[in-house]
Amino acid sequence: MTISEQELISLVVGWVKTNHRGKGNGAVEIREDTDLIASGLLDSFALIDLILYLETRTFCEIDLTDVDPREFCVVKDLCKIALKNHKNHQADGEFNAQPNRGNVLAASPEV
Amino acid sequence: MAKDTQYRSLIQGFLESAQRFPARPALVVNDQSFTYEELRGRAARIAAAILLQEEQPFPLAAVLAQRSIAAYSGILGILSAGKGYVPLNPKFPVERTRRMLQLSGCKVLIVGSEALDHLPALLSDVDQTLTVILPDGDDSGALAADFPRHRFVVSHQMQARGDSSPLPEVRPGATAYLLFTSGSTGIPKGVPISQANVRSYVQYTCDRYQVHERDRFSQMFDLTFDLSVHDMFVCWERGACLYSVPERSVMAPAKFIRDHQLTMWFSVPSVPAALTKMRLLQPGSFPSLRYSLFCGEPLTALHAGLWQEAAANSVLENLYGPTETTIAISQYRWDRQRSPEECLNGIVPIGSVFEGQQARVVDADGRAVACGEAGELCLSGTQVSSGYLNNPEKTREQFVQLPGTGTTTWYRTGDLVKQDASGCLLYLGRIDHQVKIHGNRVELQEIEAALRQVSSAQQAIAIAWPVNNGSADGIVAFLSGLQRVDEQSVLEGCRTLLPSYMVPKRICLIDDWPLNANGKIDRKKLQEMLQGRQV
Repeated sequence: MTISEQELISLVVGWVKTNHRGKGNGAVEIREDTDLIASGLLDSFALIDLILYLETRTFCEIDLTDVDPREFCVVKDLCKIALKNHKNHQADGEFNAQPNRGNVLAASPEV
Repeated sequence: MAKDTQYRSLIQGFLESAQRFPARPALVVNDQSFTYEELRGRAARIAAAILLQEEQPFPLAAVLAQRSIAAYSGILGILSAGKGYVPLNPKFPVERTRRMLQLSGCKVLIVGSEALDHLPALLSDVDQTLTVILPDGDDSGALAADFPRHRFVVSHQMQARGDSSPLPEVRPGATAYLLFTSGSTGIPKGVPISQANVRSYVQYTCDRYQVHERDRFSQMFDLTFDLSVHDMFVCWERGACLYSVPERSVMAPAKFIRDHQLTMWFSVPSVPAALTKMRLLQPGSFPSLRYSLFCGEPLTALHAGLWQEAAANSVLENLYGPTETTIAISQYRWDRQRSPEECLNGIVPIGSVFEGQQARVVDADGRAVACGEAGELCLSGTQVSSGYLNNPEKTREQFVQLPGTGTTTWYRTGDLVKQDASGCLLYLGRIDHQVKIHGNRVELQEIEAALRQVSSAQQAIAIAWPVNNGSADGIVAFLSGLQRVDEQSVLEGCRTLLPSYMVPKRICLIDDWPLNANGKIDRKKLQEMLQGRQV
């Protein structure tokens, strides 16, 4: 199974709309070039929840060891990193079961 | 001269370091470095601007800013002016900030450029007339036109005080800073910490960790969190450099620690937990650290062990202390061999209180329990605050005298602990409805009050969920008396009243509340329902 960058962006946007930490009553404005931290939509802990959620949806781990944090705060950049890991795993034949992420918060409406 | 006027105030440590090490870096924030002399100069200009407002003496001034040069120089400027500081958080809803500002009675407000967006809403609703100091601002024309009852001071109107100007007299009992904690009535509680309280902490901690001018401190905490006081003033007391960690690096600080070769780490245990989830806590990751300190919520043996391997050259300590007892008041030093066996339920002990402070574990009548028995932890000593701001009733409840201890005032922490034969304190949990979320102290009743306000629910119950090793990741709310609920609308309403960490992640409707043997709503049962996904 492959997932496109656009599908991934839609997943991120959907997740943020449900779980954002922003203030106010207005509708959440989020685009692919939105910086999730600078905009105040997510705090750093919520960003982790989002990354773990993406791991469950792409079925592979996102390796942030050498990534500058500036690079995974913007929606499309985060999706590119996730997609890169996703493709690498597929190429390596490591398409395994869902990573063990027992406490992903509010990953889906029924949680 | 009265003896107490010779007291060494909190700001003096910074000023002495600025004299000894004027050219050394004092602060790195947003990729910019400031020497002690530069930071002192900025603080002096803010202090002069504050003192010019002093037609009548006032004890406190507020700073609305977030880990920026304006924030740090604002705090130093307020203290240099002989006042106590009240940190306000631009991440909080304006309504909450307005309430804190009014409760504090501050008439001077320093605002960083990062908080300017919040200013119009705040200024239009606040009761008192304010002098707003904008250290980053060049022009206040639009604000002055829109809010004529407030005064504005921008950077070019701020004059430096002469270096020879004497420091205003500051007494040991004067408030050094005023913080607000979550209040069970729905109104945040003000906790004033005196100069003597915080001086006691800074002196003890600097000596314990042998802090020196070559140290490099992390600064992770929001300034509304009292652990930030440790970062700033333990660091500046000895001429070290403070590294403000950008929000985006908080969950992935490994690169930041390496890039800046930090030597002193201080964070909530949620950080190693997050790093572990992301597989970023690897052995040998942080060789530059010589101390790793954790505080604010239970530290698990698992994360202590993993961090110790990652920061193998550092001494790791678990600190404990409510805001009312000034930053931290007890410590436990992790030992690779011995400590895993000393943990209780996988939680690292909170250890023993600092020299000069006292702990007592008591039963419901305030009498000391036997060694090994569970009881409420009560604390006294030079670090313990004298009570809550303008709240004598709550002060009487929490600051008490205990049988057999004379006139000593003890702070009842609400924390359930037991003491082992060696005197080591072990944390068991809370005796009330207070929870910690990523280290932030939260009264569930405050969330429930907000939920009732923004929905037409007859009853609202907030449950910390999920809870892992004594620390909560978030809140789930239960509402009754409604046929249906617009979840997003309720959550949006909560966001206007509560800081983000207090906003529920989810709303559940319930018709019949589970009740315990006393006829009260059974919160444990609600947790079990969440566990079993029955809602």
